[in-house]
Formats: sequence, structure tokens, C-alpha cells
Amino acid sequence: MNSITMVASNIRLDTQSTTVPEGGVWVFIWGDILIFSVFYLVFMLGRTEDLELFLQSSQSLNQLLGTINTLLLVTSSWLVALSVCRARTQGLSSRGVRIPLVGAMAAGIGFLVIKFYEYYEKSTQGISLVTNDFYSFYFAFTGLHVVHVGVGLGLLAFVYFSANRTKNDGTAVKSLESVGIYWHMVDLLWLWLFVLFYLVV
Amino acid sequence: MTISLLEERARNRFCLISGVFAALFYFGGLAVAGFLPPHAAFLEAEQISAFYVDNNLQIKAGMAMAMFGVSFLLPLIGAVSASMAKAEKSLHFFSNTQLACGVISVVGFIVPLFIWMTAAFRIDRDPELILLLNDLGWLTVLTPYGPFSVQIASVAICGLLDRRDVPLLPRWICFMGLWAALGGIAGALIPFFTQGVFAWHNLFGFYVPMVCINAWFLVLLVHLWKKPSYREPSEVMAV
Repeated sequence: MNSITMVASNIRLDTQSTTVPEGGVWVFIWGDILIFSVFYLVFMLGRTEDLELFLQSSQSLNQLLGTINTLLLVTSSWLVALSVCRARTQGLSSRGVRIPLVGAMAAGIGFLVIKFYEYYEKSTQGISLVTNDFYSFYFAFTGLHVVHVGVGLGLLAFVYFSANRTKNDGTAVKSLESVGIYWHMVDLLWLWLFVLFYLVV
Repeated sequence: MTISLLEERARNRFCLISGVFAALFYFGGLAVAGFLPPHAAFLEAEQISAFYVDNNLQIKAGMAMAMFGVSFLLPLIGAVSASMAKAEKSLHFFSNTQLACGVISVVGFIVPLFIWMTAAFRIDRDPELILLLNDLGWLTVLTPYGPFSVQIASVAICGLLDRRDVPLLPRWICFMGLWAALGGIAGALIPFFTQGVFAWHNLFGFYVPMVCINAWFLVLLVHLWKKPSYREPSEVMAV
């Protein structure tokens, strides 16, 4: 058997060991992206009405913390992708899958800590949800995103702990894939919000 | 003693029709009363009080109609829990949760109707008091999104955990439910605004949650009507 056919048969084995991906999760993903797209539009409309105010308020946000948070979420996404790749070949309970998952959760918690510090910082400056239109959008939609991050952390923890006990690896890998897709969406939504609130000048 | 599949289907459909009936009467009643779309949250006492005086009869009739209809939501909630109980093999964790949240949701529909009815009851009241009752009604019906979210999420999670050949719901409907449960959370911002997109009469206070919940409600009803899964697949095959 030459090397090409060996590689080919390995690939076939690989695809066989992977279960059919969960299709339904995309309904959730596109639905959520739709809601955030509506917000995007509303924000841009509000921005054209009062450009001065939006620019001024945007500059008061902590760019450094925003950037660190972006890096944290992107890293976290990468770690989840890594553990999904490994789970397909090594099985869920291997260390190669579980260590990146712990890292991803740690990064997610770090994101929350920094986000709440930012909220705290704003509140000490006397800025809140009702200060002006920009901050209403800022607090409402980063807040909604924080809820998404919290849910995502719960899901990651669920996958992590069920990986120990699972008898049916196919189903468990499927759950991990779905959670991974969700976690990437949380990352993507943050990138949008980061660009909107912190960067657009 | 078991009932035949045909009887079971008839009872299931009776409950579904009851749910549709409830929705029609509830939204119909609100429309008759002039509460759809909602009054703007920024209206002042004189404007709101004038509305209650000018439309007094319609408001009372509409509220009575909505109140009559909304209790017919309960058979639907019962039917959904019954199907869920079939899907849960052991103890009925999620079907009980759904039932409890469903009952709270119905109370959440009924109480605001009483409040608005009270506002319309004596129109020689101080306009400020009518404004107060009007606010109370809208905040009571739109702000408590929690029970709805938990109700929808428990149906969705029960569906996702169901590994039978013919599951309670197709998986995409479960995921759509989770989306609806999360999508209306902006309703929590209603108390902070009388103006702007987050206020109770506006995009994120009213329309987004309404579309999320009702779209899912519709999909759920159509599915339960066409493909109810209250039987084991083998039983279905046998008939």
C-alpha cells in the first residue's frame, strides 16, 4: 500500500469517526446574529443623528481594557477550536481536550472580570445606562453580551464535566461542537460591539 | 387502561385549539381596548387619562374579552407538559418546571388586565392616578420576562435531551426556543426608559420580544398539531 492510499484511508477513517454535525444550532446562531444586526442598524441610525455626542462618549471608554478583552475572547475561541479538533481524534476525556477547555473558561472569566471593572469605572465617573443615548446602547448591548458570555461559560463547564462521565462519545463530541459554535458566535458578536463602541471614529 | 391513538390525538388537538383561542381573544381584546400597539411610555397624565375617558367602553369590553380568553392558555400548557412528560423517562423535571412557569405566565397576563380595568373603572379619578395604573399595567405585563424564558427554555432543553427515534421536537425548534428565551432579555431594560428604542412601546422593549416569542409559539403549535410525539415510536407503528 503506497503512502497516498494510506493517507486517504486515514482520512476516511477520520470522517467516519466524526458524527453528523448538529444542524439545528444554526437556527439559534442566525437568530441571535439577526437581533444584534438590528441593534447595529439602530445604533448607526442613532449615531448619524448625534455624531458629536457619540464620538465624544466613545472616546471616554477604556480602549486598553477593550483591547485586552478582545484578545481574551479570541484566544478563548481558539482554545475551544483546539479542543474540538482534538476531541474528534483523541476522545473527550483526554487531557489534550480538557486542558484547552479549562483555558477557554479562564479567559471567559477574565473577560467578565474586566467587563465588570469597566462598568464599575464608569459608574464611579457618574456614567450610567441613562446618561445619554450612546451609553444606553453601550450598557444595554454589552450587558446582553455579558449574559451570552455567562451562558457560554455554563455550557463549557457542562461539556467539561459531562466529558468525564460520558459513555457515548459521538453525542458528547456533537455537544462540544455545538458549544464551540456558540462560543465563536459570542466572540464574533463582541468583535462587532468592540468595533462599534471603541473603534469607529 | 389506555386510550386509542385517535382519542389521544383529538385531546391533544383540543388543547392546541384552546391555546389558539386564548391568543386570539387576548390580542383581540387588547386591540379592541386600543392597547395594540402599546401607548408610548412618555405620554403625560392628561393624555393617558383622556385616552381612558374617550375609550372607556372599549377598554372595559376589551379587557373582559382578553380576561375571558387568556385562561384557555392553560390546556395548551398542560398538553405541552404531557408530551414533555412522555419524553422524560424518569422524574418529570422539565415538564413540571414548564407547567409552573406556564401558570405564572398566565397570571402575568391576567393581573395587568385587572389593573387597566381598574384604571378605566372610575374615570373621574385624578389623571395622575390613571397614569400610575397605566404604568403599573404595562410594567407588569412586559417586564417579567423571567418565567417566559424559563418556560421556553425548559421545553427546549427537554427536547434536546430526548433521544427517542421520534423526539418531542425537532432539534431546530429546540434551538429556536433557546433563541427566543434569550432574545427578549432586553425587556429587563424597560424600567429605565420612557423614550428611545428600549422603552416599553419601542423596538427592543416590545417588538423584538413579541416577534421572538410569537414566532416560536407558532412553530411549536404547528409542529404539535402535525407531528405530536406523545407515543413511543413502536406504538405509533402498530396503529
